[in-house]
Amino acid sequence: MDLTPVDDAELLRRACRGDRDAFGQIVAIHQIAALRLATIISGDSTEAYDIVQEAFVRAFRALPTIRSSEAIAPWLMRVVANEAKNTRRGAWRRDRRHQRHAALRPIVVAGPDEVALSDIDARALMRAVGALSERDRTIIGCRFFAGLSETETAAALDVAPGTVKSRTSRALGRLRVQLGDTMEVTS
Amino acid sequence: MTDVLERQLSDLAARLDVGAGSALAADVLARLDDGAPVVAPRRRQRLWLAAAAAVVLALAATLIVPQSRDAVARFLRIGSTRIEPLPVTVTTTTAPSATSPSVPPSTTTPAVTEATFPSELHLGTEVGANEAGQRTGLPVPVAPGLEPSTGVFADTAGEFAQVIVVYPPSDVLPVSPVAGVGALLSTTRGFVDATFFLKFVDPGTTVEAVDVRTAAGDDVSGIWLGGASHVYAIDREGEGGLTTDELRLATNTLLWQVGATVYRFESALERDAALAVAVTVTEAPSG
Repeated sequence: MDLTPVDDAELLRRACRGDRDAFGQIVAIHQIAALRLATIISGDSTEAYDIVQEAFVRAFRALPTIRSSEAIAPWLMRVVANEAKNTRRGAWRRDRRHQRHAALRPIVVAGPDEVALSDIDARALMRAVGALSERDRTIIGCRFFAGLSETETAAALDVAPGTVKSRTSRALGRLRVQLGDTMEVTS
Repeated sequence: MTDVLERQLSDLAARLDVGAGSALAADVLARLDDGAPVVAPRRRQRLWLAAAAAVVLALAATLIVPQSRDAVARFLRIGSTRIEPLPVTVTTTTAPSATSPSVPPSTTTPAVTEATFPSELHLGTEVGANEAGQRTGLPVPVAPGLEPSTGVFADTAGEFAQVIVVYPPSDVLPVSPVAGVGALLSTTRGFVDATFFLKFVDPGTTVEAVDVRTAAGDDVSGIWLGGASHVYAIDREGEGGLTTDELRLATNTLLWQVGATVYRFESALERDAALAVAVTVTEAPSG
């Protein structure tokens, strides 16, 4: 696979013409953001891999439907988010049948000393994110885990930018409630 | 300006172990060689998407997630974070319900204040369920697990309408601080704003963020107020502007969000019992 840096638009044009290597480069560029988003929505980094793989396969097959003016990152994250939600709902139905409930169990790797978030706080924060509703996790996931801007998040979720702002604010508020006094989060 | 929590979320993202992403591109390309179906022309996209959505939902459980995999994460945990209220008093211009002593979360039989029900509760006009829905444009909530309601009210006096359904005390529903009332179940338009509760809960009230399972099987965000809270705040337009509203019974309250509608269940029930009621709440059939 040729990994020479090429911009998204050019890769997209080539991928739309059926160039699979170009699509492979798109996957390589966006896979980390996609995996983080799928992990936050699904709550499982192992399952996130399957979700993102399936999402990218679906995205490739849907390339002819993407508008020429559409940015690839929000479009891909929309596919990933939808796939994560659908997969989670399938798992949820199984959960209800088996009456098995468990908490979010993502893996948080140790960070360097200079990182502000301690390991303990990272795990507390992850648990709090996991306790949010799917809608809150999706908006938090797009903004802070996939690194989308408000405009890009609006495109990914097909809502107005103002809605992204208000939903993000409310989700952060609920996250603060979840965290309570377990860690310092006030600015 | 980016606040501390936002920076911490970004830190957390960078530290999240997302597995062996390096193999992903190869795995995806291998899947593309498995005989992918031809993409439908754009004009057929809607039909294709509808069919694909159904197929993907059906296949997700059986093909994507191996049965032998470790248990996947689930998000049904009820939050248990206790928020210490700040000593801030909030007053509202609307008269709250009967005054009552603080109801600690462990209390299930609060002292009853004699009240002239329903006038002192400011419930609006008593109407049938159909008319309440028509007048307000709101869903009329029904809790089938409780005794039949003793009244359905439409409150259209203020800027924002409410539907309020009154349930009597029963074997499963303790008497509230107001005589003859076991619970008030209401709907209004807006969004619960959790930030408000961090600063303005009444003294003696505990606040928890909870996940509320709805009758439709969705897991939605909610707030549990344990104790004698008198007011809460909602974001009417979803754009950050807060307005306060009264809690008529001044007792334990569960708030949850379905779409742009806030559901509110005020009773002397404890949190888990209130959550058990919430999961039964449906919308009264119209017509």
